[in-house]
Amino acid sequence: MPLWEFDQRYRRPRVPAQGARVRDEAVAAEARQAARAQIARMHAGEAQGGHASLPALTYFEEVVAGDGRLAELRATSAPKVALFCNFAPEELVHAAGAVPVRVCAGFPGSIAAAEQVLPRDICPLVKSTFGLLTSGAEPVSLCDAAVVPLSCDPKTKLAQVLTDYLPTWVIDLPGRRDYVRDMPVWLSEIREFLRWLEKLTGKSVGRRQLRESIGLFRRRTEAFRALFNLRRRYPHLLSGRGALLVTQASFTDDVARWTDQVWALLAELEGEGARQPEPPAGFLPVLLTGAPVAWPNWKVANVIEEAGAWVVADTLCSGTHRLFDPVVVDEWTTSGMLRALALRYFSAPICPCFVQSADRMDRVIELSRDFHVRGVISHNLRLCQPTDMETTLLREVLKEEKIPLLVLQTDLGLEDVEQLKTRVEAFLEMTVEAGGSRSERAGEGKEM
Amino acid sequence: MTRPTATWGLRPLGVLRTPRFWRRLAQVVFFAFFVYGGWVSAVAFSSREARESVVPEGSLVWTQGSLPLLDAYPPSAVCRFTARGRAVSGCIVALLSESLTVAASARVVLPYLLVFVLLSFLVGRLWCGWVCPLSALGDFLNALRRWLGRGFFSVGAEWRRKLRGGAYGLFGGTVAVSWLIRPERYKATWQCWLFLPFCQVCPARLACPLVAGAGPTSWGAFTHPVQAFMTVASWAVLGLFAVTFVTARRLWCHLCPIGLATSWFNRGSPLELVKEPTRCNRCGACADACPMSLTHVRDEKEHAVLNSPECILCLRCVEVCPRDDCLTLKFARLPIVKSRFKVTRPPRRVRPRLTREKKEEVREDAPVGV
Repeated sequence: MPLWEFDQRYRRPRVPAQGARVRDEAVAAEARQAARAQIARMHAGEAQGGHASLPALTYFEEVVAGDGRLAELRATSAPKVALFCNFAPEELVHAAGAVPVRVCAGFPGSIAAAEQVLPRDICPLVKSTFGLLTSGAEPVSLCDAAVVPLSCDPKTKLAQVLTDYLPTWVIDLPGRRDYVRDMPVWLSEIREFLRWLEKLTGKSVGRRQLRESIGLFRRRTEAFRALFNLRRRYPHLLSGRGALLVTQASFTDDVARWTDQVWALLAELEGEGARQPEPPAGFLPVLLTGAPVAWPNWKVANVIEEAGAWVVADTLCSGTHRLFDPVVVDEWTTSGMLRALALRYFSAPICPCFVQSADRMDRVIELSRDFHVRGVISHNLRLCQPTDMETTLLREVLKEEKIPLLVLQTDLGLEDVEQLKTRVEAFLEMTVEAGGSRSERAGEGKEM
Repeated sequence: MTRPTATWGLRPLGVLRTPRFWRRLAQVVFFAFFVYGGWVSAVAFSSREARESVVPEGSLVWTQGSLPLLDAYPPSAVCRFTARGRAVSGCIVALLSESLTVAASARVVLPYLLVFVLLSFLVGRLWCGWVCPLSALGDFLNALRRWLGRGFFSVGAEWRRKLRGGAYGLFGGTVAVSWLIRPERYKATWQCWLFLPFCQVCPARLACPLVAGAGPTSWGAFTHPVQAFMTVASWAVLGLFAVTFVTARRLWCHLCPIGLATSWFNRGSPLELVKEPTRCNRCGACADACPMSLTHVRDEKEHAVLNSPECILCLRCVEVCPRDDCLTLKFARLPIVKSRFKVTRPPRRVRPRLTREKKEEVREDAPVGV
């Protein structure tokens, strides 16, 4: 059976081949500059984050803003596969001998470049990522192929546009998550994806490669879980942006090395925790949910944390929900492992693009309770309609839980930063009053 | 406020924390007890018990050998036909079938039934998952399949419903036939070859004596056409038993009438499988690992208690669940096992160290402000 392919008739090859791509040095340089600026900004706000007091975070800063990892990617002969969403199984890419690179970016400077091809009124995250590709910014322009899971509308249409630039593969994501009817479809999508990868790299993926790959990524999940558990125990040791930074580094980094570095970070954090086991006075934990906060534009996280709150937990696909769930293999046969992969990538990213909202609502409630948050902040990226449409439900659910909600409707642009700051500050003032009385009612004392 | 305790780090003897280890241990121990336990009491039959007096000599279900260690009928497939070495009197289906045929008085049967009900009520179908020696044999076959790396069949809800209907058919059919062949009716006619109809085809009758190393050798009795038919049927059923356990995990257990009788007490038992719905994202790891191919543990978002008539409480779902404290096994509201994602800390030597100097480099050239 031949592999499914894009219709070639309307394909308009815009850039002939890898390396001959038109590079817009200005945009690429600007993106690098923005990354470094974000790092510096987190250092400047170290009173809130305890960021600079953790030398182990330097490694993750290097990965996201430095040149080391990019040089490695440039040097490697293995094909690099750009993943445009959280639903593409990285284990398979790794097992096929390719390097998975998650490319979702939020750099506003590349949107103008993207708008030469894409319309104005679509998801800015898609435009930004696409703009970085067309203007030759790394790491996305280093990639030899693209994989687009069809999670939301802009991603669906982006796939056809991407065929003009890169060999592209799409993974059709059933939106309904019916395990009887949709799971076989999704499983066959995963199988076809693997066949495409095998064709791309010219290597066949057997039981051994799959097992090793799943084991490697499971150790990554274990390290991340250890970090998550530690943050649950000591929510004041690592800022929300620090945790986002760790996750962001995993977008491009070597899996084994990233895992080791997380354990190094954990060793440091445990030391800190022994010295400072209780949160400081005025500690204000909040939960961040909604659309991904994409590197290097962490405007929303910056505004929240610089206003004095701590993002102790999140449900973002660029944050906790990228790495939280493991692949649970019951039987280590090829079909058993593929089934486990399919299950994990079907359910772990609790994206609003699914028909059912229950899993995301449940997760928000669970994290709110576990982390004793004072408020929930929803990041509604402009034109991310699935997130927007779930907000009404989220508001009602949180009302029942008696947790205040702030909805930040914003773009990637920086012109509304002051306005956001005002809204967040007002919200935090309100939650301090409401939260104080709430914890007293619950008899929890003043600890949180 | 109670803080959650740290869950990472190497655990000493981590295997002792997995339900699977304890379940395998229980299966081995109970298998040894039920199949070989009777060897410790070598009290031979001096005379046949009254309840067994109607068995025609040379029948497929001719019981001989020693008296059982315990006179009880526990809720699992513990077979009475391991001639010497049976530890208990038999299973619930054998008890009902026999009592109906010989028209045993209620005073004789009721105590056995009460013990059965009490044992079933106490832990429900935990008997099937942890005690039943027949399914322990089946699990051994299943382990062979896993070891060989072969896949398995998984049945959907529709087939599970059909199989449960089959179990009802077997149970009801056994009761009906046993009642119809009462001795005052058959007077040593062909009906006597139908004594204990389910036992005649039950795979335990052939399998348990086979592994016990001693037993009635009724593998081939062809005295009467009815008996010949039952003999061939018993071979076929034993073959089916082996094939289903090798290819479809615990598919057989959906069809087992003994499990069916126990399953009536699975709901309302103090042993409860409880789910915290907010902690579940329906990843389906539980449904994938469930040997009974049940899906309600994954799908349930409304009710906390997950006990279902088909669940054998093997706790595989609790073991594989990657969400901490999502699934809990409780006995009389007391938590016994909770789901927990195991985090194993790597050995210390692989952890690299970093210095502060590198950090300053990043700081210098980076201007403030996005």
